[in-house]
Amino acid sequence: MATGSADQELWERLRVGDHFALGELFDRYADDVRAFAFRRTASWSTADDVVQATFLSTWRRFQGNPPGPLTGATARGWLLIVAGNECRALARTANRLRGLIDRLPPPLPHDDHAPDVARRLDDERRMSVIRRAVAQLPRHERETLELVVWSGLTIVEAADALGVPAGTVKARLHRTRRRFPDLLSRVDLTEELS
Amino acid sequence: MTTDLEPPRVPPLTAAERARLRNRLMERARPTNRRPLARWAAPVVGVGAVAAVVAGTLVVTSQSPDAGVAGPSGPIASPAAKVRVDLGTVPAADVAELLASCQFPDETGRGKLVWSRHVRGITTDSTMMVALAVNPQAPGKAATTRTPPRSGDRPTGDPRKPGSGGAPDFAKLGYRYCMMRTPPSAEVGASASVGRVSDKGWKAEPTAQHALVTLAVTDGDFTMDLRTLQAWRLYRAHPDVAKVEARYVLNGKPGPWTSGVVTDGFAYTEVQAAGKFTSGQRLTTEVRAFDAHGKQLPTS
Repeated sequence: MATGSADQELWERLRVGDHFALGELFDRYADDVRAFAFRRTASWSTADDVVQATFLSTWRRFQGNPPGPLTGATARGWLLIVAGNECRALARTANRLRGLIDRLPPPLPHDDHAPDVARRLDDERRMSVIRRAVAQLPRHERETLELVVWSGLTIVEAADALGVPAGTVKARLHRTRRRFPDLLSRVDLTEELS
Repeated sequence: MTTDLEPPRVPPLTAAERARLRNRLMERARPTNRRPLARWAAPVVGVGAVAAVVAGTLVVTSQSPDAGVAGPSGPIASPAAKVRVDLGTVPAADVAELLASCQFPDETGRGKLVWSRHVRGITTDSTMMVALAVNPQAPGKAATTRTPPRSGDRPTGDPRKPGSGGAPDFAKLGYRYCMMRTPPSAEVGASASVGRVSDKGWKAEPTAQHALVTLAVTDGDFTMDLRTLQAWRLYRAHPDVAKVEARYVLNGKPGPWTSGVVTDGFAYTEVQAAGKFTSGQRLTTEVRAFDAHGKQLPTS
Protein backbone atom coordinates (compact mmCIF):
# COMPACT_ATOMS: atom_id res chain seq x y z
CA MET A 1 0.00 0.00 0.00
CA ALA A 2 1.29 3.44 -0.86
CA THR A 3 2.32 5.79 1.88
CA GLY A 4 0.80 9.20 2.35
CA SER A 5 3.91 11.08 1.30
CA ALA A 6 4.16 8.97 -1.85
CA ASP A 7 0.56 9.86 -2.65
CA GLN A 8 1.24 13.52 -2.10
CA GLU A 9 4.10 13.38 -4.57
CA LEU A 10 1.89 11.54 -7.03
CA TRP A 11 -0.86 14.10 -6.50
CA GLU A 12 1.52 16.94 -7.31
CA ARG A 13 2.58 15.16 -10.48
CA LEU A 14 -1.06 14.81 -11.47
CA ARG A 15 -1.56 18.50 -10.80
CA VAL A 16 1.11 19.37 -13.34
CA GLY A 17 -0.51 17.05 -15.86
CA ASP A 18 1.88 14.13 -15.64
CA HIS A 19 0.22 11.36 -17.63
CA PHE A 20 2.55 8.77 -16.15
CA ALA A 21 1.25 9.59 -12.71
CA LEU A 22 -2.21 8.47 -13.80
CA GLY A 23 -0.85 4.99 -14.52
CA GLU A 24 0.77 4.90 -11.10
CA LEU A 25 -2.43 6.04 -9.45
CA PHE A 26 -4.25 3.22 -11.24
CA ASP A 27 -1.61 0.70 -10.15
CA ARG A 28 -2.04 1.74 -6.54
CA TYR A 29 -5.79 1.96 -6.25
CA ALA A 30 -7.51 0.05 -9.05
CA ASP A 31 -8.20 -2.89 -6.73
CA ASP A 32 -9.66 -0.63 -4.05
CA VAL A 33 -11.88 1.19 -6.50
CA ARG A 34 -13.05 -2.04 -8.10
CA ALA A 35 -13.85 -3.61 -4.75
CA PHE A 36 -15.80 -0.51 -3.75
CA ALA A 37 -17.66 -0.48 -7.06
CA PHE A 38 -18.53 -4.16 -6.92
CA ARG A 39 -19.87 -3.82 -3.41
CA ARG A 40 -21.92 -0.85 -4.57
CA THR A 41 -23.25 -2.36 -7.81
CA ALA A 42 -23.12 -6.15 -7.30
CA SER A 43 -21.96 -6.46 -10.91
CA TRP A 44 -18.45 -7.26 -12.11
CA SER A 45 -18.87 -5.67 -15.50
CA THR A 46 -20.31 -2.50 -14.02
CA ALA A 47 -17.51 -2.42 -11.47
CA ASP A 48 -14.98 -2.53 -14.31
CA ASP A 49 -16.77 0.34 -16.01
CA VAL A 50 -16.72 2.30 -12.78
CA VAL A 51 -12.95 1.76 -12.48
CA GLN A 52 -12.46 3.20 -15.95
CA ALA A 53 -14.80 6.10 -15.36
CA THR A 54 -13.31 6.93 -11.96
CA PHE A 55 -9.73 7.24 -13.13
CA LEU A 56 -10.70 8.93 -16.37
CA SER A 57 -12.91 11.41 -14.57
CA THR A 58 -10.14 12.12 -12.08
CA TRP A 59 -7.65 12.67 -14.88
CA ARG A 60 -10.01 15.03 -16.68
CA ARG A 61 -10.54 16.92 -13.48
CA PHE A 62 -6.80 17.37 -13.09
CA GLN A 63 -6.54 18.44 -16.73
CA GLY A 64 -9.42 20.87 -16.70
CA ASN A 65 -9.53 22.28 -13.21
CA PRO A 66 -6.74 20.89 -11.05
CA PRO A 67 -7.65 20.50 -7.39
CA GLY A 68 -5.49 21.90 -4.61
CA PRO A 69 -2.80 19.94 -2.79
CA LEU A 70 -3.79 16.61 -1.29
CA THR A 71 -4.83 17.25 2.28
CA GLY A 72 -5.60 13.68 3.33
CA ALA A 73 -3.08 10.96 4.00
CA THR A 74 -3.79 9.16 0.73
CA ALA A 75 -5.71 9.68 -2.50
CA ARG A 76 -7.90 6.66 -1.80
CA GLY A 77 -10.71 8.62 -0.16
CA TRP A 78 -10.91 10.99 -3.10
CA LEU A 79 -11.06 8.13 -5.58
CA LEU A 80 -13.76 6.28 -3.68
CA ILE A 81 -15.94 9.38 -3.57
CA VAL A 82 -15.48 9.76 -7.34
CA ALA A 83 -16.28 6.06 -7.74
CA GLY A 84 -19.50 6.56 -5.77
CA ASN A 85 -20.50 9.36 -8.11
CA GLU A 86 -19.73 7.23 -11.14
CA CYS A 87 -21.79 4.36 -9.70
CA ARG A 88 -24.79 6.67 -9.45
CA ALA A 89 -24.30 7.90 -13.02
CA LEU A 90 -24.02 4.35 -14.35
CA ALA A 91 -27.09 3.31 -12.40
CA ARG A 92 -29.08 6.05 -14.10
CA THR A 93 -27.84 4.91 -17.50
CA ALA A 94 -28.57 1.28 -16.62
CA ASN A 95 -32.14 2.13 -15.70
CA ARG A 96 -32.67 3.71 -19.08
CA LEU A 97 -31.12 0.70 -20.82
CA ARG A 98 -33.17 -1.73 -18.76
CA GLY A 99 -36.33 -0.20 -20.15
CA LEU A 100 -35.00 -0.77 -23.64
CA ILE A 101 -33.91 -4.35 -22.97
CA ASP A 102 -37.26 -5.22 -21.42
CA ARG A 103 -38.79 -4.52 -24.77
CA LEU A 104 -36.44 -6.93 -26.58
CA PRO A 105 -37.22 -10.66 -27.02
CA PRO A 106 -35.65 -12.89 -24.35
CA PRO A 107 -32.27 -14.48 -25.19
CA LEU A 108 -32.01 -18.15 -26.13
CA PRO A 109 -31.25 -20.54 -23.24
CA HIS A 110 -27.53 -20.75 -22.75
CA ASP A 111 -25.88 -22.92 -20.15
CA ASP A 112 -22.33 -22.13 -19.19
CA HIS A 113 -20.90 -24.39 -16.54
CA ALA A 114 -17.46 -22.87 -16.41
CA PRO A 115 -16.51 -22.71 -12.72
CA ASP A 116 -15.25 -19.18 -13.00
CA VAL A 117 -18.47 -17.94 -14.52
CA ALA A 118 -20.45 -19.76 -11.84
CA ARG A 119 -18.32 -18.22 -9.12
CA ARG A 120 -18.73 -14.75 -10.52
CA LEU A 121 -22.47 -15.16 -10.79
CA ASP A 122 -22.54 -16.46 -7.26
CA ASP A 123 -20.57 -13.45 -6.04
CA GLU A 124 -22.97 -11.14 -7.81
CA ARG A 125 -26.01 -12.88 -6.33
CA ARG A 126 -24.61 -12.69 -2.80
CA MET A 127 -23.62 -9.10 -3.27
CA SER A 128 -27.11 -8.26 -4.52
CA VAL A 129 -28.57 -9.52 -1.26
CA ILE A 130 -26.17 -7.37 0.72
CA ARG A 131 -26.91 -4.38 -1.49
CA ARG A 132 -30.60 -4.68 -0.79
CA ALA A 133 -29.87 -4.44 2.92
CA VAL A 134 -27.45 -1.54 2.41
CA ALA A 135 -30.05 0.28 0.34
CA GLN A 136 -32.25 0.52 3.42
CA LEU A 137 -29.65 2.57 5.26
CA PRO A 138 -29.70 6.35 4.90
CA ARG A 139 -27.22 7.51 2.30
CA HIS A 140 -24.76 9.02 4.77
CA GLU A 141 -24.65 5.82 6.81
CA ARG A 142 -24.32 3.77 3.64
CA GLU A 143 -21.32 5.81 2.54
CA THR A 144 -19.72 5.45 5.94
CA LEU A 145 -20.13 1.69 5.87
CA GLU A 146 -18.68 1.47 2.38
CA LEU A 147 -15.73 3.74 3.02
CA VAL A 148 -14.70 2.80 6.54
CA VAL A 149 -15.79 -0.79 7.04
CA TRP A 150 -15.60 -2.18 3.55
CA SER A 151 -12.86 -0.09 1.98
CA GLY A 152 -10.71 0.31 5.08
CA LEU A 153 -10.42 4.10 5.17
CA THR A 154 -9.56 5.49 8.57
CA ILE A 155 -12.11 7.70 10.32
CA VAL A 156 -9.97 10.72 9.46
CA GLU A 157 -9.61 9.73 5.80
CA ALA A 158 -13.34 9.14 5.47
CA ALA A 159 -14.13 12.44 7.19
CA ASP A 160 -11.75 14.19 4.82
CA ALA A 161 -13.25 12.53 1.76
CA LEU A 162 -16.83 13.20 2.82
CA GLY A 163 -16.12 16.71 4.04
CA VAL A 164 -17.56 16.15 7.54
CA PRO A 165 -15.98 16.13 11.02
CA ALA A 166 -14.45 12.90 12.26
CA GLY A 167 -16.97 12.80 15.11
CA THR A 168 -19.80 12.69 12.61
CA VAL A 169 -18.24 9.71 10.87
CA LYS A 170 -17.88 7.93 14.21
CA ALA A 171 -21.51 8.56 15.09
CA ARG A 172 -22.70 7.35 11.71
CA LEU A 173 -20.56 4.27 12.01
CA HIS A 174 -21.97 3.51 15.43
CA ARG A 175 -25.54 3.74 14.15
CA THR A 176 -24.68 1.61 11.11
CA ARG A 177 -23.11 -1.09 13.24
CA ARG A 178 -26.28 -1.29 15.29
CA ARG A 179 -28.67 -1.28 12.39
CA PHE A 180 -27.07 -3.07 9.47
CA PRO A 181 -26.77 -6.67 10.74
CA ASP A 182 -30.48 -6.67 11.51
CA LEU A 183 -31.30 -5.33 8.04
CA LEU A 184 -29.08 -7.95 6.47
CA SER A 185 -30.71 -10.84 8.30
CA ARG A 186 -34.15 -9.56 7.33
CA VAL A 187 -33.19 -9.40 3.67
CA ASP A 188 -31.64 -12.88 3.90
CA LEU A 189 -34.83 -14.23 5.38
CA THR A 190 -36.92 -12.64 2.68
CA GLU A 191 -34.67 -14.26 0.06
CA GLU A 192 -35.16 -17.68 1.61
CA LEU A 193 -38.91 -17.31 1.81
CA SER A 194 -39.26 -16.10 -1.75
CA MET B 1 -26.06 -7.31 19.17
CA THR B 2 -23.79 -8.47 16.41
CA THR B 3 -21.33 -6.06 14.93
CA ASP B 4 -20.12 -8.33 12.18
CA LEU B 5 -19.81 -5.98 9.24
CA GLU B 6 -17.01 -7.75 7.42
CA PRO B 7 -16.82 -6.53 3.84
CA PRO B 8 -18.00 -8.90 1.14
CA ARG B 9 -14.98 -10.62 -0.36
CA VAL B 10 -13.74 -9.08 -3.59
CA PRO B 11 -10.66 -10.70 -5.14
CA PRO B 12 -8.03 -8.39 -6.65
CA LEU B 13 -7.82 -7.89 -10.39
CA THR B 14 -6.09 -10.65 -12.27
CA ALA B 15 -3.09 -9.73 -14.41
CA ALA B 16 -5.25 -9.98 -17.53
CA GLU B 17 -8.02 -7.82 -16.10
CA ARG B 18 -5.53 -5.27 -14.82
CA ALA B 19 -3.78 -5.10 -18.19
CA ARG B 20 -7.05 -4.66 -20.04
CA LEU B 21 -8.36 -1.92 -17.77
CA ARG B 22 -5.05 -0.08 -17.49
CA ASN B 23 -4.37 -0.07 -21.19
CA ARG B 24 -7.86 1.13 -21.97
CA LEU B 25 -7.57 3.89 -19.38
CA MET B 26 -4.18 5.09 -20.52
CA GLU B 27 -5.30 5.03 -24.12
CA ARG B 28 -8.41 7.07 -23.40
CA ALA B 29 -6.59 9.50 -21.13
CA ARG B 30 -3.66 10.15 -23.34
CA PRO B 31 -3.55 12.91 -25.92
CA THR B 32 -5.53 12.57 -29.10
CA ASN B 33 -4.13 11.96 -32.57
CA ARG B 34 -2.99 8.50 -31.54
CA ARG B 35 -1.80 6.19 -34.24
CA PRO B 36 -4.30 3.53 -35.35
CA LEU B 37 -1.95 0.73 -34.30
CA ALA B 38 -2.42 1.63 -30.67
CA ARG B 39 -6.17 1.46 -30.99
CA TRP B 40 -6.07 -2.25 -31.54
CA ALA B 41 -3.68 -2.72 -28.67
CA ALA B 42 -6.41 -2.50 -26.03
CA PRO B 43 -8.79 -5.04 -27.61
CA VAL B 44 -5.88 -7.39 -28.08
CA VAL B 45 -5.29 -7.25 -24.36
CA GLY B 46 -8.89 -8.21 -23.78
CA VAL B 47 -8.62 -11.44 -25.70
CA GLY B 48 -4.98 -12.24 -25.32
CA ALA B 49 -3.71 -10.79 -22.08
CA VAL B 50 -2.96 -14.18 -20.62
CA ALA B 51 -0.88 -14.98 -23.66
CA ALA B 52 0.88 -11.66 -23.22
CA VAL B 53 1.75 -12.49 -19.66
CA VAL B 54 3.14 -15.82 -20.74
CA ALA B 55 5.09 -14.18 -23.53
CA GLY B 56 6.41 -11.58 -21.15
CA THR B 57 7.63 -14.27 -18.83
CA LEU B 58 9.39 -15.99 -21.65
CA VAL B 59 11.37 -12.98 -22.76
CA VAL B 60 12.40 -11.87 -19.29
CA THR B 61 15.21 -13.82 -17.80
CA SER B 62 15.89 -14.21 -14.11
CA GLN B 63 18.70 -11.69 -14.44
CA SER B 64 18.37 -7.97 -14.68
CA PRO B 65 17.57 -6.80 -18.20
CA ASP B 66 20.42 -4.40 -17.71
CA ALA B 67 22.79 -7.31 -17.34
CA GLY B 68 22.25 -8.68 -20.77
CA VAL B 69 20.94 -6.06 -23.13
CA ALA B 70 23.22 -3.69 -24.94
CA GLY B 71 22.42 -1.12 -27.58
CA PRO B 72 24.78 0.38 -30.10
CA SER B 73 27.81 2.14 -28.76
CA GLY B 74 27.60 5.86 -28.14
CA PRO B 75 30.37 8.27 -28.93
CA ILE B 76 31.62 8.21 -25.34
CA ALA B 77 31.24 5.25 -23.04
CA SER B 78 32.17 5.00 -19.42
CA PRO B 79 34.51 2.10 -18.71
CA ALA B 80 32.24 1.10 -15.87
CA ALA B 81 28.99 1.02 -17.81
CA LYS B 82 28.12 -2.39 -19.22
CA VAL B 83 24.80 -1.40 -20.70
CA ARG B 84 23.82 1.38 -23.06
CA VAL B 85 20.43 2.69 -23.99
CA ASP B 86 21.06 5.05 -26.89
CA LEU B 87 19.70 4.06 -30.29
CA GLY B 88 20.47 7.36 -31.96
CA THR B 89 18.27 10.09 -33.34
CA VAL B 90 14.54 9.63 -33.77
CA PRO B 91 13.78 8.30 -37.26
CA ALA B 92 12.31 11.04 -39.45
CA ALA B 93 9.23 8.91 -40.11
CA ASP B 94 8.38 8.90 -36.41
CA VAL B 95 8.84 12.59 -35.66
CA ALA B 96 5.28 13.67 -36.42
CA GLU B 97 3.84 10.86 -34.35
CA LEU B 98 6.16 11.64 -31.46
CA LEU B 99 5.12 15.28 -31.61
CA ALA B 100 1.47 14.24 -31.51
CA SER B 101 2.25 12.25 -28.38
CA CYS B 102 3.50 15.45 -26.79
CA GLN B 103 0.13 17.20 -27.03
CA PHE B 104 -2.32 17.33 -24.15
CA PRO B 105 -6.03 16.73 -24.75
CA ASP B 106 -7.96 19.71 -26.11
CA GLU B 107 -4.73 21.58 -26.62
CA THR B 108 -4.67 24.16 -29.31
CA GLY B 109 -1.63 25.40 -31.20
CA ARG B 110 1.13 23.45 -32.79
CA GLY B 111 3.86 21.96 -30.67
CA LYS B 112 7.56 21.85 -31.41
CA LEU B 113 10.15 19.29 -30.44
CA VAL B 114 12.98 20.78 -28.40
CA TRP B 115 14.96 17.59 -27.94
CA SER B 116 14.33 13.95 -28.75
CA ARG B 117 16.09 10.61 -28.75
CA HIS B 118 15.49 7.03 -29.78
CA VAL B 119 16.36 4.68 -26.90
CA ARG B 120 15.91 1.08 -25.88
CA GLY B 121 12.48 -0.10 -24.80
CA ILE B 122 11.12 -1.79 -21.72
CA THR B 123 11.14 -5.15 -23.50
CA THR B 124 13.77 -6.61 -25.77
CA ASP B 125 11.45 -6.36 -28.77
CA SER B 126 10.37 -2.75 -28.32
CA THR B 127 12.04 0.67 -28.34
CA MET B 128 11.19 4.05 -26.91
CA MET B 129 11.29 7.57 -28.18
CA VAL B 130 11.60 10.29 -25.59
CA ALA B 131 11.30 13.99 -26.17
CA LEU B 132 11.08 17.42 -24.69
CA ALA B 133 8.64 19.64 -26.53
CA VAL B 134 6.92 22.97 -26.19
CA ASN B 135 3.50 24.27 -27.04
CA PRO B 136 3.10 27.71 -25.49
CA GLN B 137 -0.48 28.52 -24.63
CA ALA B 138 -2.19 31.10 -22.49
CA PRO B 139 -2.05 29.84 -18.93
CA GLY B 140 -4.99 28.42 -17.10
CA LYS B 141 -5.40 28.89 -13.41
CA ALA B 142 -5.00 26.07 -10.94
CA ALA B 143 -8.04 25.91 -8.73
CA THR B 144 -7.71 25.61 -4.98
CA THR B 145 -10.83 23.53 -4.46
CA ARG B 146 -10.32 19.93 -3.49
CA THR B 147 -13.81 18.70 -4.19
CA PRO B 148 -13.80 15.44 -6.14
CA PRO B 149 -15.36 15.73 -9.56
CA ARG B 150 -19.01 14.86 -9.90
CA SER B 151 -19.90 12.23 -12.41
CA GLY B 152 -19.87 13.53 -15.93
CA ASP B 153 -17.59 16.43 -15.14
CA ARG B 154 -15.72 17.28 -18.28
CA PRO B 155 -13.49 20.18 -19.14
CA THR B 156 -15.67 22.40 -21.21
CA GLY B 157 -15.51 25.73 -22.93
CA ASP B 158 -12.41 27.60 -23.90
CA PRO B 159 -9.47 25.57 -22.67
CA ARG B 160 -7.50 28.75 -22.21
CA LYS B 161 -9.89 30.15 -19.66
CA PRO B 162 -8.73 29.93 -16.08
CA GLY B 163 -10.07 26.85 -14.40
CA SER B 164 -11.41 25.29 -17.52
CA GLY B 165 -8.32 23.82 -19.10
CA GLY B 166 -5.05 24.95 -20.58
CA ALA B 167 -1.69 24.87 -18.88
CA PRO B 168 -1.70 25.30 -15.12
CA ASP B 169 0.07 28.29 -13.60
CA PHE B 170 3.15 26.32 -12.65
CA ALA B 171 3.72 25.19 -16.25
CA LYS B 172 2.55 28.10 -18.33
CA LEU B 173 5.61 28.11 -20.57
CA GLY B 174 4.21 24.97 -22.13
CA TYR B 175 7.23 22.70 -21.88
CA ARG B 176 6.52 19.01 -21.60
CA TYR B 177 8.25 15.65 -21.72
CA CYS B 178 6.81 12.71 -23.55
CA MET B 179 7.43 9.12 -24.40
CA MET B 180 6.25 6.84 -27.16
CA ARG B 181 6.82 3.10 -27.25
CA THR B 182 7.10 1.30 -30.52
CA PRO B 183 5.70 -1.06 -31.45
CA PRO B 184 2.86 -0.52 -28.98
CA SER B 185 1.69 -3.78 -27.50
CA ALA B 186 -0.21 -5.19 -24.59
CA GLU B 187 3.01 -6.19 -22.95
CA VAL B 188 4.75 -2.83 -22.66
CA GLY B 189 2.09 -1.01 -20.68
CA ALA B 190 1.25 2.54 -21.63
CA SER B 191 2.26 3.00 -25.24
CA ALA B 192 2.66 6.76 -24.96
CA SER B 193 2.55 9.35 -22.22
CA VAL B 194 3.08 13.03 -21.68
CA GLY B 195 3.83 15.14 -18.61
CA ARG B 196 4.42 18.81 -17.95
CA VAL B 197 7.78 20.31 -17.06
CA SER B 198 7.32 22.99 -14.42
CA ASP B 199 8.45 26.47 -15.36
CA LYS B 200 10.71 26.55 -12.34
CA GLY B 201 12.38 23.33 -13.42
CA TRP B 202 12.74 24.47 -17.00
CA LYS B 203 14.35 27.78 -16.04
CA ALA B 204 16.83 26.24 -13.60
CA GLU B 205 20.33 26.24 -15.06
CA PRO B 206 22.90 23.56 -14.29
CA THR B 207 26.11 24.76 -12.67
CA ALA B 208 29.55 23.37 -12.03
CA GLN B 209 28.29 22.30 -8.59
CA HIS B 210 25.01 20.86 -9.89
CA ALA B 211 25.80 19.49 -13.30
CA LEU B 212 22.32 18.04 -13.89
CA VAL B 213 18.95 19.74 -13.45
CA THR B 214 16.06 17.31 -13.35
CA LEU B 215 13.30 17.98 -15.86
CA ALA B 216 11.37 14.72 -15.70
CA VAL B 217 11.32 11.70 -13.43
CA THR B 218 9.46 8.50 -14.19
CA ASP B 219 10.55 5.82 -11.77
CA GLY B 220 7.69 3.37 -11.99
CA ASP B 221 6.97 2.07 -15.48
CA PHE B 222 6.08 -1.63 -15.64
CA THR B 223 5.62 -4.25 -18.22
CA MET B 224 2.10 -5.58 -17.88
CA ASP B 225 3.24 -8.78 -16.22
CA LEU B 226 4.96 -6.71 -13.51
CA ARG B 227 8.22 -8.50 -14.27
CA THR B 228 10.24 -5.52 -15.47
CA LEU B 229 10.36 -2.19 -13.69
CA GLN B 230 11.79 0.77 -15.56
CA ALA B 231 12.94 4.18 -14.36
CA TRP B 232 13.92 6.95 -16.74
CA ARG B 233 14.78 10.60 -16.33
CA LEU B 234 15.50 13.68 -18.38
CA TYR B 235 17.91 16.40 -17.34
CA ARG B 236 19.28 19.67 -18.53
CA ALA B 237 23.04 19.10 -18.54
CA HIS B 238 25.89 21.48 -17.85
CA PRO B 239 28.15 22.02 -20.88
CA ASP B 240 30.93 20.11 -19.10
CA VAL B 241 28.85 16.94 -18.91
CA ALA B 242 29.99 14.47 -21.55
CA LYS B 243 28.40 11.29 -20.29
CA VAL B 244 25.89 10.14 -17.71
CA GLU B 245 25.33 6.81 -16.05
CA ALA B 246 22.60 5.45 -13.83
CA ARG B 247 21.94 2.34 -11.84
CA TYR B 248 19.06 1.12 -9.75
CA VAL B 249 19.25 0.02 -6.13
CA LEU B 250 16.82 -2.73 -5.28
CA ASN B 251 16.58 -4.30 -1.83
CA GLY B 252 19.90 -2.70 -0.99
CA LYS B 253 21.66 -4.22 -3.98
CA PRO B 254 22.80 -1.98 -6.83
CA GLY B 255 22.25 -2.96 -10.43
CA PRO B 256 24.82 -2.44 -13.20
CA TRP B 257 25.74 1.05 -14.31
CA THR B 258 23.87 1.93 -17.47
CA SER B 259 25.22 4.50 -19.87
CA GLY B 260 22.74 7.24 -20.74
CA VAL B 261 22.58 9.87 -23.46
CA VAL B 262 24.00 13.39 -23.48
CA THR B 263 23.31 15.58 -26.49
CA ASP B 264 22.58 19.24 -27.09
CA GLY B 265 22.59 20.22 -23.43
CA PHE B 266 20.15 17.52 -22.30
CA ALA B 267 20.71 14.14 -20.74
CA TYR B 268 18.65 10.97 -20.49
CA THR B 269 19.17 8.06 -18.10
CA GLU B 270 17.28 4.82 -17.86
CA VAL B 271 17.55 1.63 -15.83
CA GLN B 272 15.56 -1.56 -15.73
CA ALA B 273 15.24 -4.24 -13.09
CA ALA B 274 13.75 -7.69 -13.48
CA GLY B 275 11.87 -9.54 -10.80
CA LYS B 276 8.39 -9.80 -9.43
CA PHE B 277 7.14 -6.35 -8.56
CA THR B 278 4.00 -4.94 -7.08
CA SER B 279 1.81 -2.21 -8.46
CA GLY B 280 2.96 1.26 -7.51
CA GLN B 281 6.50 0.18 -6.76
CA ARG B 282 9.23 2.68 -7.65
CA LEU B 283 12.81 2.05 -8.61
CA THR B 284 15.43 3.95 -6.65
CA THR B 285 18.02 5.32 -9.03
CA GLU B 286 21.56 6.64 -8.62
CA VAL B 287 22.92 8.93 -11.31
CA ARG B 288 26.41 10.20 -11.99
CA ALA B 289 27.90 12.50 -14.60
CA PHE B 290 31.39 12.76 -16.09
CA ASP B 291 33.23 15.33 -18.14
CA ALA B 292 35.08 14.54 -21.35
CA HIS B 293 38.18 13.52 -19.38
CA GLY B 294 36.30 11.01 -17.31
CA LYS B 295 36.23 13.15 -14.18
CA GLN B 296 33.08 12.76 -12.16
CA LEU B 297 31.04 15.94 -11.76
CA PRO B 298 28.88 16.87 -8.78
CA THR B 299 25.20 16.34 -9.54
CA SER B 300 23.51 17.13 -6.25
